[in-house]
Amino acid sequence: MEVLVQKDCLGGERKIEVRLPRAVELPDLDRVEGCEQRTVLHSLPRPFFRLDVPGSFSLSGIIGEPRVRFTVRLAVRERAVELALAACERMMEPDP
Amino acid sequence: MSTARVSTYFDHAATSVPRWPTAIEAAVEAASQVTPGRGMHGMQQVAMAVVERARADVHALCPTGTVCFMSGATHALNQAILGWRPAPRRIALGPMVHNAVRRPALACGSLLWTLPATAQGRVDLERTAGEWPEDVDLVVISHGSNVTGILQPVAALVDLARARGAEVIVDAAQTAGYVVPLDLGDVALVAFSAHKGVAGLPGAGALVVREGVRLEPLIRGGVGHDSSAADVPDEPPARYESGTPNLPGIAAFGAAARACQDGWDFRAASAALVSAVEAAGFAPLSGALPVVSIDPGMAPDVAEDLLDRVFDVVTRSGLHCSPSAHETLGTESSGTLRLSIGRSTTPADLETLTRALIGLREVSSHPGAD
Repeated sequence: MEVLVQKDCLGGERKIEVRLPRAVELPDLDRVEGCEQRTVLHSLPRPFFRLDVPGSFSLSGIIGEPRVRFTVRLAVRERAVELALAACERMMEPDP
Repeated sequence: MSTARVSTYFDHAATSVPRWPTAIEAAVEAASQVTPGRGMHGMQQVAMAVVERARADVHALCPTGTVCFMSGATHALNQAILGWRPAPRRIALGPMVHNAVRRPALACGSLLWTLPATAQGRVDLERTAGEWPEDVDLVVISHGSNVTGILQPVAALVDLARARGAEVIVDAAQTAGYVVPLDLGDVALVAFSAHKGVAGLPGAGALVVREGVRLEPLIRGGVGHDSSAADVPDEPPARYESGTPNLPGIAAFGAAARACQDGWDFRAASAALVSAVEAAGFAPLSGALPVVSIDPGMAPDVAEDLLDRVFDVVTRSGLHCSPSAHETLGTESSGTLRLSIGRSTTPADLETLTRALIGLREVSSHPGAD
C-alpha cells in the first residue's frame, strides 16, 4: 500500500491518502470497525462513499477506485498512519 | 499520487495555470544565459538587459517606486515588515491579511492593532479614523482578499495613515496582474508574486520601494559591484537583491507583466463566477476579485475531496493561510471552500463548476443517502 501523509490546513487533523492494492468494493466497507455512519452516494457520476468512526477518523473514496482518504482526528493524530493502515488491511481482507 | 484525469481548475488564487506561454518561452531562453551583473563582458550584458527589461515591465504594473526582485510575495513582505526601521511601536494590520503579513508582524514584537472592518472584512475608514491609536507607525494591509476577493480602500487608507504620521505597506499578491496598474497612492512598499494574477512562474516576486524608503536588508552578499565596501549599497534595487538573481523567473515575470496589459476585466470575471456559484444555489462571500468562498454544507475538506474525485473540479478548502480573514468573517472554526478563476477560465469551465456544485448541494441535502 502506498501512503501519503498531508497536514490539515486547520492545524489539527491529519490527512492520510492510501492507494490500496485493488479498487474498493462495497463489501469492503462492512469491514471497517467502529463505523457509526456510512454514506454511499450512487447517484453521483462516481459513487462516492464516506464512513465515520467517531473519535478516530473518517474515510472517503470512490467505489471502484483504489485511492482512499482518511481524516484522522486531532486526539489520535500521532497514530494516524497506524490507524489508517490497520483499517485498510481489514478492508482488503478476503471474505471468509 | 498523481492522477491522469483532466481536472477543471478553480484555484487561481493559489497559483494561475496555465501560465502565459510567452512567460514560459522567456524562462526557457533565460535558462541558457549567464549570471547578470557579474563581470563586464558581453554575455552578462545580454542577461542584464533581460533583468532591466523585466524590471521596467513589472514597474508598469506597479509604478509606485523601484522594483526589487524577490523570491515571491512572502519574501517581499518579510523584507518589508522585518526590515522596517526604526522598528514600529505599533503595526496596524488589515482585517483580511494573509500569514505572509501576520506572521512577520507578530515576529516584530511590535504592538498590533487590527483595523476596524465591516462584517465582510472591508476596512471601515470612519471607525479607523476615530479609533486610531497615536502610536501606530506602520500599516500593513492586503489589497485584495485571497478568501473572498474583497478589495480594500487602500488609497483612502494611505491618505488617512500619512496624515497621522504612519506609512503603509501593501500586500498586492491577489491584485497584481488583475488591477492594472496598481494605483495605490503614496504607499511606502508594495509586495506581490509573479505566479498568481500575473501568471508568471513561482520563485519570483517584487517589492516596489518608494523613493526615500530605506529598509534593513534581510540578506547581505554580493551584488556584482561595489565589492570593496563593507556593506551592501544604500540604494534599491541592489540593497535588497544580494546573491545570484533568478534569471528565468525574472524573465518570465517581465513577459507575464507585459501580457497582463491586455485590458482583462477582472470585475466581469468576478461577476461571472458569482453567477455560476449562485446558479447552484450557494450564497458566496464575494468581492471585486474573481475569488469567492462558500459554506458547502459539509466539512469544506470533504467537499473539496468530493468535487475533486467525483467531478474532477479542483477547489481549495480550509483557512487559505489567512486565519485573520476567517476570524473577521467568523469562519475560523472550519474554514470555507474557496473557488477562484483567472484569465484562462472559460464559460464552459464555469458551467462545469455549476454542475459540480449542484451535485455537491444534492449530497449536502441528503447526507445519509445509501
